[in-house]
Amino acid sequence: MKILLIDDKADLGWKQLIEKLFPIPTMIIDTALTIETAINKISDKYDLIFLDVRLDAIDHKKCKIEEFSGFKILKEIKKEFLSVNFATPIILLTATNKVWNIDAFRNYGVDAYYIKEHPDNVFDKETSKQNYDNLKQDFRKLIEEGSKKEQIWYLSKEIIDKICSHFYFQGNKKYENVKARIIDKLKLGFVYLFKEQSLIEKELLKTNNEALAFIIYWSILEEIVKGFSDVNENWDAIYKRKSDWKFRNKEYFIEVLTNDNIKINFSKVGHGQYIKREVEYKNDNIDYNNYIGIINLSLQVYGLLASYIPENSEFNQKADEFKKINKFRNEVDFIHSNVQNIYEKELIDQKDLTEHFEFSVKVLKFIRDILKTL
Amino acid sequence: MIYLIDDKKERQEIDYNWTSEKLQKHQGTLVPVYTLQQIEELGIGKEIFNEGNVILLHESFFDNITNRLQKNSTEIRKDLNEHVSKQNSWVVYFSGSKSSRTNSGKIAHIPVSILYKNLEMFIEKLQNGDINLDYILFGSNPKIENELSSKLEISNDNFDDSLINTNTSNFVFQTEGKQNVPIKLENAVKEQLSTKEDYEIQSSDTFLNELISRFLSETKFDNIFIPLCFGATLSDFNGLRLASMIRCTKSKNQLSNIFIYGFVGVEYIFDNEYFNILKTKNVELIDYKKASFKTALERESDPLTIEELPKEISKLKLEVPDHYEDNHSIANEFGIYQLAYNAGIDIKEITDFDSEKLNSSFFKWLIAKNGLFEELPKEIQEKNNHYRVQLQGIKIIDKIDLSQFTKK
Repeated sequence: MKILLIDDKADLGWKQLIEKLFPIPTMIIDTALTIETAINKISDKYDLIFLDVRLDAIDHKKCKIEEFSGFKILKEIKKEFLSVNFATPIILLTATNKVWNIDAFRNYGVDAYYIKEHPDNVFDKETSKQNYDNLKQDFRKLIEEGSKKEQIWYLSKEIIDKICSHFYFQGNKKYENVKARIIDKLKLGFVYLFKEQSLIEKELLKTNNEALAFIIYWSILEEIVKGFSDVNENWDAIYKRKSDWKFRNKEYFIEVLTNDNIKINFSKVGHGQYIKREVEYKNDNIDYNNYIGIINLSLQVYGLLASYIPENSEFNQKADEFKKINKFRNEVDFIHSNVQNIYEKELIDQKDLTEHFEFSVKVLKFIRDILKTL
Repeated sequence: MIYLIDDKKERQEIDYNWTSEKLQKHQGTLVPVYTLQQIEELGIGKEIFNEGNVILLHESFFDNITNRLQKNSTEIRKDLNEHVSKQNSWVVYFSGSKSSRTNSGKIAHIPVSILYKNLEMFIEKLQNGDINLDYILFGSNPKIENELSSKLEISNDNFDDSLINTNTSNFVFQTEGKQNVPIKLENAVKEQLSTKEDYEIQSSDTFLNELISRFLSETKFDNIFIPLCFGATLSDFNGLRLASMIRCTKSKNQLSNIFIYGFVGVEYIFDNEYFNILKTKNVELIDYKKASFKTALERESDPLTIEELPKEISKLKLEVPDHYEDNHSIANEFGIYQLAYNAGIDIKEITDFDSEKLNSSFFKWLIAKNGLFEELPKEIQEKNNHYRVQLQGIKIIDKIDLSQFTKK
């Protein structure tokens, strides 16, 4: 575990004290005593960063928060979503007693803070103890939960790296737009997933940001399928197809053979089971209607998998993964409330929150793996 | 000409209000120097040592890496002392770590704050042909030392030195030579404060700590008597500082009654930084008379308790010492001490922390006024230990491999 301590007094006791306060055997503390060293070091990835507000006595003459050395470093850490430490938890170390200064740092992405007690501003014993107790709690929570943030950020990064480097998403206005929307949805999902919620939001207003994040991540599949599809085909609104649907690898998802005869690149066997096999449907067949009217997103995804995954066994595995994610999505209370839930289940419970996070990871991994087929 | 050699330009301006404008005002008499390079650029390397000049030198100037010479700062000071003693020139060494003043006529040592406080008056007197280092040591009252010295002699001559009987246990700090009060107290333990050692050491925080540890840590005394004046300069009134140090130092006598015996009234001492120790419980200024000692010994006072101490000691208002670079440094040191205390970690385990700081009167005062010498309750200590044990077994799931982000 790598920790970065950014503090001009790190070597005068803070580093050793942090080592003793948080004796994790694998922990290595790196230090940066100046703004220049800090900005150089944050190009390496850390598990947690302790950030001092003022790294220089000269900072005490500055009034604007933006001019404090700690704030400048924070801006660099949070410069862009793909900055390596964008998702790294940050604990602010500050001797300030000005709430608005702490707020400014919090608004810019600091996760927690510890108030260094100043000789001119010593707390009473109870408050002082509370200050330390908060630090203990915050450190543990951020170390444990920081890995969640890191995991989502890393998956998002893998997706962004892929779509930014592949020709599918370059040089064409429509596909560039698809790319921009995917990136924005990844950022939006990240915000909802890790936005600190107040007790009022959690307990009184019953927010479920995890569910919202999952829905946002799920909806990226809309852009993924369109990014993989040939835009030169004849499209109308809401997935309705009047003619062929071809992917960009030239393979057909839907091939219109005659006016009443179409061919699909995968087929359904049993309840919710799909295999990679071309199958023809005639207009008297119930499945035929699935592919000439509004074609729902899940069918589009199966079509995409069938088109881009050459091996049958791998297709089956991915189709099965998707089936589980799709099932979970269909049961999200916000979207598809079933009768039993309406009569018996609370809208939000703790189990939901954990599951929504797990499925956010699953859908992102699923998207990443589709992109790997490119 | 006065050469003011101080590498700490920022503190000169901010802490002592000697701004560029103010220095400019005295440019015919005062030459400020901040770096060795500047001496070369101004071509004043030889001029500085001319007859009639006064050199005001910050003691750590040559310790600054940009101003290093082949000789170390001690050797440079030795050479400088020899130089001024041979001709009509003077040198004043100043530093934030000095807490007392000395003047041998041509060579003086003073705290940095005193230098800047009295510099304007010194310049004014020098411009009028009155060169006397006492102006920079004592400001508008350069004769104060003589005045206090005469008062002391008179008080000693008039002191009734017959034996005082008492059944209380007492410790009496006394001074040596002409400063010594000829008190005779039955069964009292006495210690001479002034010896042949360096006067400056006599009033340093380190020396005062040693006194407490050597004489007041083993045996508990009912009363401690301290002279108001000891050390090189009577008008430093070091007795007030020693009394403050006793109160702020954990020892068997931290809560004992303290009587400071002096031959002057409060009008001489009210602007001393440690004056407020006299406003705290069971610390009193008594007259330099046998009768006052007797009254003090007979007094039945409500004992000071450890619970009362933080509130009492907070009546003392100490300034951040001058040798601190800035307020930011002391804030960090105190921040480290405070957090280690709350976590039940012995500050001595933090070897990067300069534990010598803990012996300064300022840090001791901070600890005492915040009650940070008491041990943490057992249940809190156990809770803290439990947390640290738990952390050692912390498991982090879905940890990503950071090595891929490390710069080659």
